[in-house]
Amino acid sequence: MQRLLALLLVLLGLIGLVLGRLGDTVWAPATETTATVQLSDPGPAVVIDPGVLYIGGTEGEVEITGASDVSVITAPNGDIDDYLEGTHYTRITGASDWTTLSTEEVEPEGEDELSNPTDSDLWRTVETSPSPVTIDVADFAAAEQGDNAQPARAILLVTDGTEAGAQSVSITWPVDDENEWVPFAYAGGAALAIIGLLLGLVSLTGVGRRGREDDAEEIEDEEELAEDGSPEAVEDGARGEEGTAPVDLDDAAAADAAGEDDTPDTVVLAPVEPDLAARADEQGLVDDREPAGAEEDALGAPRDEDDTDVLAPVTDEDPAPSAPTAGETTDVLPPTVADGQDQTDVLPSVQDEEPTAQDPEEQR
Amino acid sequence: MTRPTPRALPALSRRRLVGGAGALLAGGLLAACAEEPGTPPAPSTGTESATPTPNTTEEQLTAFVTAVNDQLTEADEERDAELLAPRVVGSAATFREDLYELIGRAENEEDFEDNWNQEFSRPGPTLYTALTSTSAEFPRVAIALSTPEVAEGEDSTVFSFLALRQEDARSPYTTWGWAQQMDGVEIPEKLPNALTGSEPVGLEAEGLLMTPKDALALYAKVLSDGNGPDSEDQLAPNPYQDTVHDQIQAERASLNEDVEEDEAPTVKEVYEVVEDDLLGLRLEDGGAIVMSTFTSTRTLTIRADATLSYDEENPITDVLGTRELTDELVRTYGTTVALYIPAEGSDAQIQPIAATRIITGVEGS
Repeated sequence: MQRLLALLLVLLGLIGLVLGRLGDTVWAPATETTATVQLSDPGPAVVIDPGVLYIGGTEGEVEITGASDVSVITAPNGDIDDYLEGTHYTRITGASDWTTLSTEEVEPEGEDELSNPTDSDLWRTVETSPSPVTIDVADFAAAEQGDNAQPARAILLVTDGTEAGAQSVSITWPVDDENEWVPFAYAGGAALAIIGLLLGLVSLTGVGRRGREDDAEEIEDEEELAEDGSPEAVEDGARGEEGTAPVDLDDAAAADAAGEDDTPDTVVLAPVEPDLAARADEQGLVDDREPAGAEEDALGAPRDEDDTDVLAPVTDEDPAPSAPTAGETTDVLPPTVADGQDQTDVLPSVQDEEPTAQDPEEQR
Repeated sequence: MTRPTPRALPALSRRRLVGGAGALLAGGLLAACAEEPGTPPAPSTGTESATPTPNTTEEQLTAFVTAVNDQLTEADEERDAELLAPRVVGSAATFREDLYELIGRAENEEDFEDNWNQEFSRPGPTLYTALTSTSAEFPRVAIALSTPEVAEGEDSTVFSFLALRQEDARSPYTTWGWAQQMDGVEIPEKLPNALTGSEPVGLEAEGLLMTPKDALALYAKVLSDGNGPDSEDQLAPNPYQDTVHDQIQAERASLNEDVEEDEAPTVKEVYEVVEDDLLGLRLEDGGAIVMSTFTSTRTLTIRADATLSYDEENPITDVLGTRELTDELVRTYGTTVALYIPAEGSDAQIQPIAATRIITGVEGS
């Protein structure tokens, strides 16, 4: 059972480690996030507000699609507003979530055309490229450093002044993210695996203090069994250790399988002590039954020579008990104790003189 | 001999161990599941500059200077005033148009280069530095200092002061005039830092030795009448004034040679300020550079019963078609000037630093 538990813990630990590895690889979160907006009738100009490019950081890429060549224009933010005064256009103001850019329509009733929008003297940079156009966020941010540089520039997107300034705009930012539970999975898995391995080592060796304690408990169990003469009593005694689980007697039964008695109905009694035996002789009691010696009880556990079972004195009127023959059940033996019954209720009321060690005083 | 049996864990200990393991794994998963992605932050607009910044960059101004030079060159080659737009406007466009018309009346094409080439002055195509306004409001102004094209390896220290103005957000930067640095006159040392820009000054600007309006009026008066109007000696000597006065004196001398005084023709040139053409920018020393336009009329009056005869053909006679005049000869000019006006309380004088004149008309009878 212990080994099974150890195996289970190691298995759980390995599962935890595997889960952690999966969390780092297959189940790892996306390495980038993209916010997009599809523009329908945005007007001849689209403005990306200052700072929108940097919502997700100063690295990433902007992709702009248009019906024709797209011009990316930078200028002082107020200049763009002044230039577009009276014109219908759309502003990209931020991101409502990490997948969607938010927009604002400006002057919907304004003019829908711009004359030569790339030729204004207000523009500081004008780059015209075929659609789709990409902007590197890091490069854009770097251009805002240095003398007389304008931080957080707005971006004006136009085509030819008659068509939409842009059809779609998407901004992709790299994400440095990881599953939060991965460290826990690694730690928990490692801990369980280590515990399981240690438990397994302990179960495999099984020597030392724990082994000696087992032997001592086993001796106690056998003593209790000798008192009660029933396997249930031995089991109850073992169970009596402050609510611990019952002792598994299967091992004991398997260990003594070679010496198992082939007369299950016969209870082998312990040899009688000399003084009791002499008393029995005085009373005419003949105990010619087989001494317990190395023979086993009904549970297969060998009886110790010190175990004794004192029988009731037999009177002259009582017929002498005959030696039991193989296969016969003796009437003299006490009945089998039912489970749960106190063993003291079963034995006949005799003087319960336990064989004791010779008085040291008498020995001198 | 019995073999000791390994003692198994009590049932309760096993339960605790397995339960703890399950709780450990479950806790980690729950911790991960509880994490939700945050909402995107609001866009950051960055920090505003503590000092005002120019409205235009040097790159932009270079493009403007080049565009003006290119447009003038093309228009001069074709002598077509329509080619001056959109960059050349106002007095500069008017003066150029008048010159084209005047030249159109000339009959001598062979000596055209010698006769008229000096009239086709243009600002240099290479930007040296610029003063630009810092106000975000319109109109926006700038003074660009440019140099003429020179051969490779040579340097030019003669600057042109080009007045630039952007009327509104959809208009280009245009020029109404330019003035070439006078020979021997240094430009002010305390030009504004190109990265910080300049404060525009108007006709009635305060904090100067004299308002731009009064300074321009004084200069026009002195050009017309000599140093008499400058009783407080506030105007510094300048080559343009000397040149104009020397030309008039020379013409008088030539006309009056061997002529009785009461029969000698008179020559006088009167200057007037075109107040619509004004551009001023403050300097770091508190002074200002101011540009404006003068128109002048030089009138040669012939006394009654006298006849003015030119011995040889010249551009004037070529345009007039005659070398003899009996009434008067009227020549008109347009002049763009640049002045340095010191700060209030300064001991320095008002210094004209640049001027370019172009003939705009000739009439005579």
